[in-house]
Amino acid sequence: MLVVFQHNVEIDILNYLEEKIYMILGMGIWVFIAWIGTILAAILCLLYGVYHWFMKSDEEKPSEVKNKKSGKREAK
Amino acid sequence: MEDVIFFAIFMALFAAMFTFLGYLGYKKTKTAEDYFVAGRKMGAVVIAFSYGATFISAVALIGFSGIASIFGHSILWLAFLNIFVGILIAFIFYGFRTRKMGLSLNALTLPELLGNRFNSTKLQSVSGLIIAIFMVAYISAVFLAIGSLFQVTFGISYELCVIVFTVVVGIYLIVGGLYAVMWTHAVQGVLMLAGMIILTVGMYAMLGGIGPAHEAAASLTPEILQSIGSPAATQAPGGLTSMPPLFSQPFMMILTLIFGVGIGVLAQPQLITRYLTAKNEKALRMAIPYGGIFILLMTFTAFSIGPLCDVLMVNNGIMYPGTPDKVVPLVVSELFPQWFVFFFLFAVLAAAMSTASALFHTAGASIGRDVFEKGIMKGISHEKSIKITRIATIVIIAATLVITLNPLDVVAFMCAFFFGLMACTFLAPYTLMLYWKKTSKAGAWAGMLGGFMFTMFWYVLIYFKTAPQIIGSSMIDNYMVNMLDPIFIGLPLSFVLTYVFSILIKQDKDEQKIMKKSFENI
Repeated sequence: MLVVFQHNVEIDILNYLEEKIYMILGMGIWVFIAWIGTILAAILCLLYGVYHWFMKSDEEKPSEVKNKKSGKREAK
Repeated sequence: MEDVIFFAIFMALFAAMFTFLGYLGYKKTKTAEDYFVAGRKMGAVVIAFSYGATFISAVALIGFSGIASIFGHSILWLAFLNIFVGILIAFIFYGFRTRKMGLSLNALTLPELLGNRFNSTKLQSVSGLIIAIFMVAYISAVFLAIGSLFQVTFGISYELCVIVFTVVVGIYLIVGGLYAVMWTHAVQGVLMLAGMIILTVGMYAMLGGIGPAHEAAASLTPEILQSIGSPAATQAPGGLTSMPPLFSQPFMMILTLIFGVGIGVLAQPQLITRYLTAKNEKALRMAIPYGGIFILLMTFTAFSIGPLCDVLMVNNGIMYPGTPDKVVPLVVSELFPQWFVFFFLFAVLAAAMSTASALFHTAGASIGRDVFEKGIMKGISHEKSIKITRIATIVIIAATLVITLNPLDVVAFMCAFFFGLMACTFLAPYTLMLYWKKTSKAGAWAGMLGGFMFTMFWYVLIYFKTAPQIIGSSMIDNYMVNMLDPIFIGLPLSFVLTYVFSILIKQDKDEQKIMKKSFENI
C-alpha cells in the first residue's frame, strides 16, 4: 500500500512539474528539453571558443607545415 | 510592375556584388589548392559562415518551418542535433583529423581523401561520380523551390527566375573558385541572419512574447486547426508544443526527419570541404562558436516560428496554403510590411544560392578532379586540373538547369534522400579511416557500396515517400518500418561491412605505408 502510495505521489509530482513547465513556457516536457538543449548546445560552442581563445595558441607540428608547403610547391 | 522593377534592381545589385567577389577570387586563384580549398587560408569567421550557409538552404528556412507548422515544436530536436552533432561533434571529432589527414595526403576533396588514404583512384572516381549525380538533383530541388517562390511573389516567369539565379551563381563560382564561394557565403550568411532574426522577433512580438506565443500555439485544438485547413489538426495530435505519441505516424515522421539530417550532416562532402580550407587548427577551433551561434539563429528560429504561423493564420483568418513550404512566405506577405517581404525573400534566395554554389563547386570538383583528373586523365598539370574542373562545373550547371526547367518527380525525392544517402555511403569508411588504422581498401569499398546499395534498395522498394512514386507502393505496409530513414539500418550496416572486410582482407604493404603517413600529424 505504501509503495503504491509513493508511486502515485511520484507520478503526481511529475504531472505537476510537466503541467507547471507547460503552463510557464507553453511547451510539453520533451519539447522544452529540445528547446533548452538547443540553447545549451550553442552556449557550449561559445564556451568552447572562449576556452580555446585564452589557451596558448596551437603550434602546428613541423611535419604539418612541411606537408602544407610541399603541397603548394607541387601545385605550382 | 513595381515588384518586377524592385526584383530587377535587387538582382542586379546581387549579381554585381557577387561577380566582384568572383573577380577577386579569380585574381587569387593560381593553383589547384586555391580553386578547391581556397588555398587552405581561410579564417574562423569565413569558415563558420560558409559551413552554416552551405548547410542551411531555403529547404531548411521555409521547408522545415512549414513542416514545423504541421508537426509542431517537436522538430526542435533537429535544431539541437544541427548544433550538437552538426557543429560540435562534426568539427571536434571529424574536422581536425580531416584537415590533418588532408594535409598529410595532399587531398583536396572527400573522394580524394578516401582515394589517397586507401591507395585507390577507382575508389576516388566512383565516390566522385556518386556525389556529382545526386548533387545535381539536390541543387535542382533547391532552385525549383526558390524559382516557384519568386514566380508567385513577383509574377516573373519561373524559367526566367531559375535561369537568372543559376547564371549568377555560375559566374562567380567558375571564375573565382572556392575563394569566391566562401566570401559570398559570408555576405549571404549576414543576409540570412538578418532576415531570420527580424522575422522571429517580429512574430514573437506580434504574439506577446515567448511564453504567450507558445501558450497560444499550445491552445490550438484540432478543431481550430481544421478551421484553417491545416494538416496539423491530425499530424500534431498532442498539440503543437508537445511531442506526438510514441511510435505514432507523426512521431515516426519526426524521427526520420531528425535523424536523416541530424546525423547525415557528418558525411556531407560539401561541408567536409570546409575543414580542408582552414589556415590552421586554431581557425577551425574558433569556427565552432561562430558556427554554433549561426546555426542557432537559423534553425532554432526557423523551427520555432512554424507553429507560430498557425497561431497567426488563425488569429487573422488566413487559410492554410496547401503545401508546407508556402506557410511562412504566406504569413510574411500577409502580416509583415512590404519592405520586409522583399528583404525576407532575398534572404531566402541568399540561402538557396549559398547552398547551390557550394554544391556546384563540390559536384564540379567531383567530376573534374576525382573522375577525370585522377581517374581518366592521370598525371595532368595543375593548371589543366583547374581548367577541367571549370569545364566540368559548367556541364554540371547546365545539367542542373535542364532538369530544373523540366522538373520531374524524381527530383523531389532525390533531394529528400540526399543526406541519408551520403551518410550511408560515406560516413562509415570516412569515420573508420580517421580513427582506425587497420581500415583497409576492401573495407572502404564494402562499406561504401554496401551502404549505397542498401539505401537505393530502401528508397526504391520500401520508403513511404519514394517507393509509391517508383513501384506503386511500398513493399512493407507497416508504417513503423516504411517511414524509417535508411540511416537507421544502412549506417550500422555500412560500419559492419567496413569493419568485417577490413579484418578479412587486410592492408597490403603500400596501404600500410600510406596509413602511417596519414596518421603522422594526428
